[in-house]
Amino acid sequence: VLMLVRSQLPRLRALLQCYWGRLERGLWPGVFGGQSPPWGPALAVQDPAPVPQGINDAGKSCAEVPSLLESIVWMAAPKQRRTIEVNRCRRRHPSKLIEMKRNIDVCPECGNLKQKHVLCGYCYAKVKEETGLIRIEIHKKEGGPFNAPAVETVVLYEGEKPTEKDEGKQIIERARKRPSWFVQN
Amino acid sequence: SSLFLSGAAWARGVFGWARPERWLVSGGLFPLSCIHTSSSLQKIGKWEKKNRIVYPPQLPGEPRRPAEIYHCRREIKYSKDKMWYLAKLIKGMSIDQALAQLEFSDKKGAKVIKEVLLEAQEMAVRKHNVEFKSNLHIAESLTGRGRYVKRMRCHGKGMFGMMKISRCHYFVKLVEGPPPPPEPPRTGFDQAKEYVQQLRNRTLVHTL
Repeated sequence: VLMLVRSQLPRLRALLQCYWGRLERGLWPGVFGGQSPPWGPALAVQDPAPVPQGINDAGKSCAEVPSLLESIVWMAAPKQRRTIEVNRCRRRHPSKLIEMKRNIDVCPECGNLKQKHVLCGYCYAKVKEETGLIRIEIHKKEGGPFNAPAVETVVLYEGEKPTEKDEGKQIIERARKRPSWFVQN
Repeated sequence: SSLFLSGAAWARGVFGWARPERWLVSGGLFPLSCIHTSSSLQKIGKWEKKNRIVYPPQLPGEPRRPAEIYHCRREIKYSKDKMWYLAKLIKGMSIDQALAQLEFSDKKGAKVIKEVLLEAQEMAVRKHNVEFKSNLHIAESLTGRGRYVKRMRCHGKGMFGMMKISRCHYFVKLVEGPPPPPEPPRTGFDQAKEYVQQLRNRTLVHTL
């Protein structure tokens, strides 16, 4: 609920507009001691339309303007309170309920649940952890930023020797047994 | 001192938090060491009390009564309407299926409900004599309104609105056994049969 801190300015503005309009049309001759329209510019052509026509219109409009029919743009607003039955029908409609997922399987490696089109979360976490440790070893070897050699990297675990194929490559040693999922070439 | 020589009830009122009856157990002066003071535990809800009912042993000829486990979590920082959708999703599922659905749901309440279900499953195996932890299904799952707090939310130009920070409770009842088969949807033929039966049940009143 938004609370309007200011006063009701639109009503005041409409009222002032009405009275200004009446003054302009010369409907209050008593205000300035009987001078007929003092407000218009001196060289302008006087309006030939008779004043009594203005009186009728102004009388009607002065009665209407305080009811704010001209200055307000109509906005959509609910006419009736929505009953709880109607609300329930909308909130519990089948399109709004959560659908059951039918794409959940069991990961053959670890036995945790996984979605069919997504990698198993547990296996991914395991691999991520190991690659983090390998990256730490790489940082230790390089010593600083921008020192990455332009050659391939080979990761060797305990008890493994570099072969002839790994001649010019950067070798990273990890002090643990080779994990079963990290296949050696 | 003289303060602790009066009855446990008086001490409970004055030093509710200190529980003097606990201190004097070794002396043997107050054998009522199991009295709980109300301030420390707050009000125990009705759902928690449902776990305390104990049925008499079943007679040999009676059909086996399945184990029922009631569990709940109070004052979860989530909306009760949003939580209701998750509760409706897992109603009537087996516990494994429910845990699978909640694990891959993106909602905040899914994590909370999953914790509650795992707690309830562990409770069932440890305390309620359930043999297989997978042999449970969700008989009831409900949400309730927690305590709301009203706060001011500042808008531009010095305007403000009052917003309510909502919390909810979540209740679950696990029952041993496979989940019941889903009800077949009501066909037009069933409705017609019921209508004809209603017509046939009419009787004449205020007559001979």
